Amino acid sequence: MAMRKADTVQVEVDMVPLIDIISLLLMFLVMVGDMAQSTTSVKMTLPRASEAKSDKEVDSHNRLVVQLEKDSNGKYWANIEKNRFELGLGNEGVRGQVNGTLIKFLNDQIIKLKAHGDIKDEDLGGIKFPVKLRIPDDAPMREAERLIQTMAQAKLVNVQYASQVNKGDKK
Amino acid sequence: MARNRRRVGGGDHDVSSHGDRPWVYFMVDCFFLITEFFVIMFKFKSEEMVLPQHLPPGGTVPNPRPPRDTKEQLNIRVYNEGGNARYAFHEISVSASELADKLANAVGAGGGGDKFSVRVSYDADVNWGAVMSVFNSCTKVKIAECGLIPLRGDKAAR
Repeated sequence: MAMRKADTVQVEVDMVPLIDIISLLLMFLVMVGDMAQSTTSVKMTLPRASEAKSDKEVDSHNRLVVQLEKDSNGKYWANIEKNRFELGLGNEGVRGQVNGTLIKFLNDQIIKLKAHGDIKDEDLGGIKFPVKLRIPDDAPMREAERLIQTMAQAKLVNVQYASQVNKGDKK
Repeated sequence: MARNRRRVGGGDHDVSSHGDRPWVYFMVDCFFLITEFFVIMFKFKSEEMVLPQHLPPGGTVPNPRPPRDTKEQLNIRVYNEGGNARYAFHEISVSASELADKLANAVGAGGGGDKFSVRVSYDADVNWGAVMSVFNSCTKVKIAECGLIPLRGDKAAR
């Protein structure tokens, strides 16, 4: 008597719902994630400030972001939109810096914005142009002072110091 | 003998299976790779806070003809002691929290933050976070004028 072979059953997985699930997951990651080069892309430990405010509460229109970064040699630079500037130089000094001095760059930006009518001088000689300064918590005051003085020399009086928030102290 | 084909995941139609469309599996593989890329690169958007301040226009060099200033000036010096930042408020050494209390007391007794201006001096090696703490305390008690006294001479040089 010949043995009967058992009927084989092929199981096929329907791929269409799987593609739907993956598409949804992909859309979620793209919308919620943050891959773009943003103003906070430079990782640094910021100082804590319980009185810090969110961007919605301050003037952030046309705001310039300046980051104080330390290179591998321990030297501090001011970074603005992929331009790197040496600190502590006046208009006349370009110490081997292709992009020119920081003060010159700031003045050029101010001239452009004034030409567009985006900013105007304040009554006491200051310029109503918000600048966000990202200075690491452990940066020595010698370097931070140079950056802040440059802002003041460019008459950019409306500065915003980037900080972490102390959630426990927040009102 | 007939081979039974059982479809998993629903669907009750006689359309030919994926076996006739092998590209479906490659498409799923591509989807997986793209998804894995985004999963690895995923990072939640973080909002950064800012502490707004107002700088004196033209730099921190004092005006040769200072305007008539009726505000009481409070001088605070920031220095390092034993690896920690300390604050000298009217020659009294205090911590950051004590400084905040003293400023609050001064403002409360003086009739409001608009009656005071603060000048902050510091050693060259003091961390930025220690000075920012003074700004934060001034903001808390609504002292709008809070400026830095820059380093001078050799202390300002690298």
